[in-house]
Amino acid sequence: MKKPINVLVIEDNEYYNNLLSNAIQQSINSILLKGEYQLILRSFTDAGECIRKIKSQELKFTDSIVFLDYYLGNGINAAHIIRLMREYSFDTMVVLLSQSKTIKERNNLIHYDYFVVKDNLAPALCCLYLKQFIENKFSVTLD
Amino acid sequence: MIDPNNKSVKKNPIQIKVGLLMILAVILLSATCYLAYRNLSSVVSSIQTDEKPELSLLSIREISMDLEEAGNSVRIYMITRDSSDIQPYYNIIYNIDEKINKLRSEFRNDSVLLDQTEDIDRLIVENIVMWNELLVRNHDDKVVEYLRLLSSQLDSASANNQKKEKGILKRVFSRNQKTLFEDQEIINDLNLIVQQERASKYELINQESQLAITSSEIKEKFYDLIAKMENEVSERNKANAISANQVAEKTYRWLILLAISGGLLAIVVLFIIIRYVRKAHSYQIALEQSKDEAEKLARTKELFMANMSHEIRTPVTAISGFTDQLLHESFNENVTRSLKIIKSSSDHLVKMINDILDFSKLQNDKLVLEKVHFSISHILEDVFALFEKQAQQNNTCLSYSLSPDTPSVLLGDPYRLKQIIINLAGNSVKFTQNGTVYFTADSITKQPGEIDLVLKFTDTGIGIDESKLKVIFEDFTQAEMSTTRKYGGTGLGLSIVKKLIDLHHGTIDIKSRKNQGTEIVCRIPYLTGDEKQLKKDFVTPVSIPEELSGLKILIVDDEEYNRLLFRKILDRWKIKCQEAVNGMEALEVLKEEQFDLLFMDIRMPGIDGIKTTQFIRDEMKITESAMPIVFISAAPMNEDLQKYRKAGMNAFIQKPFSEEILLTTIIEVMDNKIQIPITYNSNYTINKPARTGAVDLNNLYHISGGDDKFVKQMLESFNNTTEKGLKEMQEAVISGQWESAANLAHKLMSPCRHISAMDLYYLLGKIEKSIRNNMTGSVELLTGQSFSEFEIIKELLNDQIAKMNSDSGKSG
Repeated sequence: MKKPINVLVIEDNEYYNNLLSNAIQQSINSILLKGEYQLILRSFTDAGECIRKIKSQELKFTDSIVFLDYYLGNGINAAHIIRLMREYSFDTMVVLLSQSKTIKERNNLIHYDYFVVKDNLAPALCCLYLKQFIENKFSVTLD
Repeated sequence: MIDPNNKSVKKNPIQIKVGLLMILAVILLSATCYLAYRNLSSVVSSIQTDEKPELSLLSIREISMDLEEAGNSVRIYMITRDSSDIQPYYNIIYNIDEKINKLRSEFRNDSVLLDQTEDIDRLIVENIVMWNELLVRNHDDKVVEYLRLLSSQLDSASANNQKKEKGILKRVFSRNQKTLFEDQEIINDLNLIVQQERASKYELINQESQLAITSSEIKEKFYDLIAKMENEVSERNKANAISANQVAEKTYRWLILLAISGGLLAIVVLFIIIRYVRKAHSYQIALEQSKDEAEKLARTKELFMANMSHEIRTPVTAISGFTDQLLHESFNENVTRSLKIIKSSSDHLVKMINDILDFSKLQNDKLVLEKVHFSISHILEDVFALFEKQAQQNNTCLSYSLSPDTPSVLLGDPYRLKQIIINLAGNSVKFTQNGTVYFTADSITKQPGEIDLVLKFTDTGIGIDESKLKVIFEDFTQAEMSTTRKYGGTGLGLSIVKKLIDLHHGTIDIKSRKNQGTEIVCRIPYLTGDEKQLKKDFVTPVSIPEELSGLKILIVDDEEYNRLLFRKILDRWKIKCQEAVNGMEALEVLKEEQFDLLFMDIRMPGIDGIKTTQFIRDEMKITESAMPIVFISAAPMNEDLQKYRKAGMNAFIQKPFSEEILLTTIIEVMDNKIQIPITYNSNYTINKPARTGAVDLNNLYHISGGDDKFVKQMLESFNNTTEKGLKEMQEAVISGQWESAANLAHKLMSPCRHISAMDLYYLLGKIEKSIRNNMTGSVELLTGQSFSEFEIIKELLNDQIAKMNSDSGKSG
């Protein structure tokens, strides 16, 4: 059985979630991973469900990259999720997404790896970071 | 020392094992065949032996039947007195002797049967005597005549028979003269009896009866003997059958034994082969692992070399660059001299790093030769200029010449040719004090368009001991250890030259004598070049062109001192520049501002220069003509040139670079743009406002990759989520939950921006901003406007969905 590499999209807006997931899935389809690894995309629109799964350890973050929206609705924001997931894994690569650049400036203490403004280039940037994550993890160069 | 034979034996134990087992299998098979053959032969022989008594019995029965027929013939004759009826009797009696002899010959190896044959023979004689007596009693002339005839025939027949096997007839009819006389007397008596026939008829019938009884008794005895013989033969057959059975059983046992042995042998062979295959498989896995590890190690080494190169070159670039900058300023003589030493040391360090990197690449066959049109005279001039000063310092006369027959333009790798000439000329200059160094370039035409470039380097320097000439091309080797101490160097120069010449399929010869000088001759094949395709040389301008001062350049480099060096140079040239510390930041900057030129470091943490460039070209749609990108790297460009070009690079500068190189590169990539106002590609329009009330779905279509179903699903999703979000926002506004309302507005902005529904996007932005600034008075109105705007968008999107449905219906 192949070892899963989780690609998680946590975005409460269904439209934007679909948009990101579709772009990332296309990117995943173009990446051929040799060996025992397999990229698996999972997306969440409900941050509460995501938190429950993290706590029950149903959702594991080892070998993962998370595309995380800052505002997740119902008063939950990315800081909660990041803090929670860091309790289980510090290796997870976090790409923080937000509509506003000020979020980046206001959240210097959150341990995220990349910040993406949710503009037209955001899906392409997310795919770029995914490729970067794969390259770093497997010491390969993807075309 | 390893014995190759032993090695091969050790290497192939499986062959020996299988070979031995095969020999064993062949022996077993041969034994099986031999046993099967032997026992089969025995059974066949037994069958053949059994057939013989049966034939003998047939002969006995035939004799018995003959005797019965003979008896019948006599009886019929006695009734009919017809002489033709007695004829079969005489025939049978005549042949019976031959049959008995045949029987005797068949039984000659069996004493029991031979004895019984003799008994039968004796009984037949008695029987015939009896029949003859009967015939004599009932004689007539013809019978007597037959008997006489038989007697005379027997005389001649008896001569052929052995004495021991004396015939029956001879014994009956012609045993001796006396018997013949007795017979004659009997005939006389019979004649007398004939005369008295009527009188003694009654008495004769009685005698006949008596003889018949006697004959019958003898016959019974005869049949008893035949039965006995048959019984004996039958017994013998039984014994043979039992014997054959025993042989067959023995054969079966052997065959089973051999079959089991064969089976076991096959299992052993199979086991050995399986074990061998498993071992071979494990060896193969180990080998593959070793190969992977070796490759990984090679990659690690390569990576290490690249990293080290980068790590060393980067500060050296700063040292060299800043020293250059400082040399522009006026200091006192001591400081200037110190700066020059720093500059020279850093340049030397760079050369050493280059040597090590080149050597590593040559060793790993990673170095690829370029094929460009170049001028040989320019290379020679450059090399001469490079060492002219050093030669003067050594009080050495340096000169060079180029043969007029040599084509002015060649096709090949000028960088590597220059490297060869620099190394060889440099060595000559380095090791020659108070002498002369002379290098020449000549050519030999091999065929039209192909030449051998002949380079000759002659010096009157320290020379090399003849005994050391063989090793000087070896890696890390200098002729003397003292050379390294005195003159420095890595000992890689000549090794690199040799490898480079080998890569060109050329040759190098060296002649040298200690303290007398050295002569090196290289022959390198080249194609004749085309002058028209000669790359235009950019002559570095003496002063900075004024047009450059209006340029706006973005510098992307993670190393602060590299950025500082750029800024220092560009500031002096009055060029505006902005910095970005990595690829991500560069992309963010490019979203907001436009630049004329971008300097991009290749190796950066996170998103590297190549990926950033690809993103700029592919996703941001900024073309090469709109904004040229110049890669800067500590690594040489050669091997990755194609990759860089594919990513969207316009030019390349290797670190450390001089001001001249930087200026030349800027002029080259900007080409004539610095003389005319710089125009931008129409695609370079980030944040282009959408039409009022309109949407732009191009981006969505682009992302969908042509999947209309996905686009439709996304549009429906937009309508649903936005409508729901607006309603929730309205509820939050009505109930005064401002924070929630601001968050919801914020949330709805991204999808709006994605489909370029900018009016709605701005309205939502205003709502969020107003709430965050505690100016909630206009929020309700803005919310209403948002709903109105959304209705327009929704209608547009629904039209689009309907159109897509209709299109898919038509195509379906």
